[in-house]
Amino acid sequence: MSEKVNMEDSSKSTNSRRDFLKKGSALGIIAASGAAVLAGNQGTKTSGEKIKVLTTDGKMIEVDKPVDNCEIQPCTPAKGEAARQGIPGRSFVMVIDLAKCKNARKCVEGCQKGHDLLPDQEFMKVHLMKDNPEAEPYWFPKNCFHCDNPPCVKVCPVGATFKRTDNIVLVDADACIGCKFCVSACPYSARIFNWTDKESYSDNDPNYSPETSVPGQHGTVSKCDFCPDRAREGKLPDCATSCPMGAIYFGDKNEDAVTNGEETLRFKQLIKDRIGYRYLEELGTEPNVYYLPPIDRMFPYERGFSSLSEEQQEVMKNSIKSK
Amino acid sequence: MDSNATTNKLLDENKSFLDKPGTGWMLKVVALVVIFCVGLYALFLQVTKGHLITGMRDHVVWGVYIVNFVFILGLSYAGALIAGIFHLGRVRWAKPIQRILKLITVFSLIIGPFYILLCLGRPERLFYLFLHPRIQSPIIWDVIAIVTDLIFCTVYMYFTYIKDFALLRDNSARLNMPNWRAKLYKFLAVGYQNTPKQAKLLNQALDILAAIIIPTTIIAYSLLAWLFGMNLKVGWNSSIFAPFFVLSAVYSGVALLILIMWIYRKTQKLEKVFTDNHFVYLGFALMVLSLFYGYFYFSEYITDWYNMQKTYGLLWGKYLDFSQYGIPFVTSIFLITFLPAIIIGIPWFRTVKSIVFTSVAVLVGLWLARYLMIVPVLETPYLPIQDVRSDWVHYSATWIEWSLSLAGIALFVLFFVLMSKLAPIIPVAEMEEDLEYEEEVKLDVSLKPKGA
Amino acid sequence: MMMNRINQYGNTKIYVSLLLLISCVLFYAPTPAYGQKQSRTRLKAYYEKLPNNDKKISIILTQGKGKKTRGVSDAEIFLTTFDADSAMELATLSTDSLGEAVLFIEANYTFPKNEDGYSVIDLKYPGNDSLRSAKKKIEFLDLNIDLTLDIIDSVKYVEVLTYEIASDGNRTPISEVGINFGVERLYSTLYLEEVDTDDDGVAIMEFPNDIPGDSIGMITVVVMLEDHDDYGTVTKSSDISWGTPVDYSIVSNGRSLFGDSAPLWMIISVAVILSGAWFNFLLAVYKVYRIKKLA
Repeated sequence: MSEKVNMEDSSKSTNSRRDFLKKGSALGIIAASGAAVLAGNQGTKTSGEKIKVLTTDGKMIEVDKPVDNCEIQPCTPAKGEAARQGIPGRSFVMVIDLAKCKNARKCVEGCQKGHDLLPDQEFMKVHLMKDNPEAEPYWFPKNCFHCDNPPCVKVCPVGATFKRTDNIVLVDADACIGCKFCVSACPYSARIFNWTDKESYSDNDPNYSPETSVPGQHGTVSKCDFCPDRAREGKLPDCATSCPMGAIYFGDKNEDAVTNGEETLRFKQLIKDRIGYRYLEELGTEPNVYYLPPIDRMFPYERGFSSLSEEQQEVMKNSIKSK
Repeated sequence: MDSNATTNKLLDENKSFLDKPGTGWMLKVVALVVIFCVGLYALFLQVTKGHLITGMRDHVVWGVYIVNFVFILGLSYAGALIAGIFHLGRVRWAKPIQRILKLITVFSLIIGPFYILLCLGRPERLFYLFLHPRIQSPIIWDVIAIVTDLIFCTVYMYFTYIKDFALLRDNSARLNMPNWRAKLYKFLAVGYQNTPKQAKLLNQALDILAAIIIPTTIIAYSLLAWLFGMNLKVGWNSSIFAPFFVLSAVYSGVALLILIMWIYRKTQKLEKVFTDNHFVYLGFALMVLSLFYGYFYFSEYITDWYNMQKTYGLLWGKYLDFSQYGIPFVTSIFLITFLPAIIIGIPWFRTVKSIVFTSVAVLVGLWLARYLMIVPVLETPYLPIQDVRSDWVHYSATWIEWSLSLAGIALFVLFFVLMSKLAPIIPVAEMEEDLEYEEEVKLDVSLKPKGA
Repeated sequence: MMMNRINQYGNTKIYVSLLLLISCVLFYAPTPAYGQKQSRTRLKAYYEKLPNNDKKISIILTQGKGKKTRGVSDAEIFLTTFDADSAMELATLSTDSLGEAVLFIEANYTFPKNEDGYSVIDLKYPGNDSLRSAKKKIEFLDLNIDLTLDIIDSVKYVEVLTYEIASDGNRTPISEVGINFGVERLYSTLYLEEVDTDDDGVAIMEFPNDIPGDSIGMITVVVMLEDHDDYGTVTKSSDISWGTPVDYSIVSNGRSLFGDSAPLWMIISVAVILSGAWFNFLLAVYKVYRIKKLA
């Protein structure tokens, strides 16, 4: 590959923005060369499942079904030092369209499922906001903003949380001493502490990757990870795929494209046209989550209360009242 | 050492540390150890069951522990700072209180850092701080500062003991000391004989240490202030924090000094050493510091209040709401900024007891002020906390945190109790040099006239 | 790899119904079949022609209505095709856990055609005790897309020619089909423009100059006819270095507050302050050491 990438040789082959081999149809490779090629195809896992193929001469054959898309090599979540580097050439960015959010809370649930979180642990929170006494309230989904000038990373005494080249800020639970300084340093309250031990938690688990945040560890800090493990498989983060309204767009700023799974838009044009903004821009944290202002909303905000308990509704209503 | 008559007399007056531990002393030790063990049990629970049994939650991530940490380290830095200044300024009347200051410094410097360890989710990974330190983190600044300060202050304290150890070594036979004491003092005295050359060397060493400890403590406590100041948090992100912290440290240190002086004066009958004048001088220092503190407090809060930025508005709402932090807020302001001026400033109220009472009130007020500087701020992030769990919204310390706080105090007292069996609580040999000067420059202030 | 991609982006319907299905599977509490009448089932099928001319039939079998819709797993679907006068069995597929099944057909396989020239596939699910049978018939014509990338007077053109090949080998251009032009991105295809083919079966798009590519500007241009009544979904793609190169050499955070190494001034200050303090400290200790020596 003619990529100019300043990394070690071992990773050079994995650095390709796009594995051009894939441009020949996967099926072409599978059908013509049989399962052997596929099995030897590095990074592509095969499942026990088969897919059926009708050959040119009308015969029906079965070949192994590749288990996942591998958009970025390696497909498996990075661990250790590799997890601190970031996926080369990527610059992940999220755009949340506040006009579409109706507080269905599917993003919260999808994220909790994807990251093995308890119901009260939320990487993605949905706040009810009211910008001034006259303005209509609106729902405000908020995850980690993966800032380019991250206050949390600055204060970490042991380098357990770090900023990667692909914009992502991750926590390595194996390195975290649980001092919680990052929790208090984050102006967006994006970080949570694992206050209680859980059966699924485990220390120094060989399967653990900061990219997946699973399994968690008692007494350490965790937060939204932008799902780089899913990016490797070409999948959007859990929150984006769970949103029934398609309010959460995700993509690569270097590619100038964000998608909510249904439509794909040019990132710069979208932010330009819709006056996308970043929450508390004046703090200088340079977030990588953009919001599209809640104008021409698709629903009255009250509809969002239906997904909340009465107690929670009360809390929300009081919260916007006191402002 | 040439122990002349005055020194021997002074030593004889203060040789209660040589007494066999009585029942009272033993009871004190046992009681303190029990309180400490309750704290240990609480710690055991916290480690095994997780931090959820404390009042700490995702917003108020630190709570009472960090308040104690800041408060106790403040006492320590104050002790070192005041001792250093008195030493370099050759403040003669301050000589008897030098040892107490150094003991405060070292004991609180040992105890304080434990409170930050109690905040750690994974205390067993503490050594990561030394394996992968990030010099950009204020926590690493604190680690470096505390370790440096602890070493400097401990060594400084020991150096100030050398003359006394020499004196005790020379008097071991005369005072019928047990063999282990004689040996111990001989070892600790490092062969000091008060020859002119040795005296010069010791004085040089003490001067150097005092001179470096003053900036060290100022830097160390400023770094501690930046532990908060470096957060993008409304209420913390303030440039006045470092000098304000240093000032409140000195303030709390003077208050504690008065209290401890009074306890020793009462329990060991040291009226001749810790004279009324000491209380008056330190009381006046307390009053001046209270005015300075009021000045800082006012500058810190008036600018926030006047501009009343949105999140500040929420914070101020909590400070001024009597169902939330109103009562402690007003109490702490009264105790810290007004009470000393009233009680010490007006001669009518100025007695040793009232000065001591004011000191205690100031200590309480300063602790409250630290609490108010930390907890309500953590409860007021930019984004509203919209949580149905009330303990997630409002911090309230549990018995775990309180018992560990008490354990810290118990340990502090225990250290003093144990130390009072090792050597005199006043630097005997140092004072001997002073007793030769009968005339002292006295301030034209005095206590409330007797019978007035 | 590729098949999932096309599935994902070319056929949004499948994707949407998939999402619905997932949520339904999550919230649906199955009820025992006994004593109840058979549930209705629904069979859907989509025809797709992939960039390498392989063909793909995607099938989904569902039961229930509205929000309770969910896939039927492990169901056998029988596929039959027809030529002008007879039926022939094409394949038997079984559905996966989501009720989906996929059949790939190699590019050179020749589908039988009916008298109108359409290829016809009948899909049948026979049903069982609790589920009713379902049927579906799809008909399609084989559309070819030729994709040409050309630069004329330094303007980049993506040109598409659509045509059918008759049995005698003659090519008939297909007019008025909407062709989507796009570029492949990490998660999806970014569509830039839709152009209808003219009478010659040609659609042309001027390719923008500001589409980021990889480090040498490589991009994958995708053209697609989406879910057409006669032609189904047909996709073609081609790689070319028409994008703007994006420098993606790894830039480390350097010396920064949030990087791995601290700013120099910080290290120097700490070093100066600490060494100054410790030098004086050691000096003081040395003096006491000399006291001991003098003893």
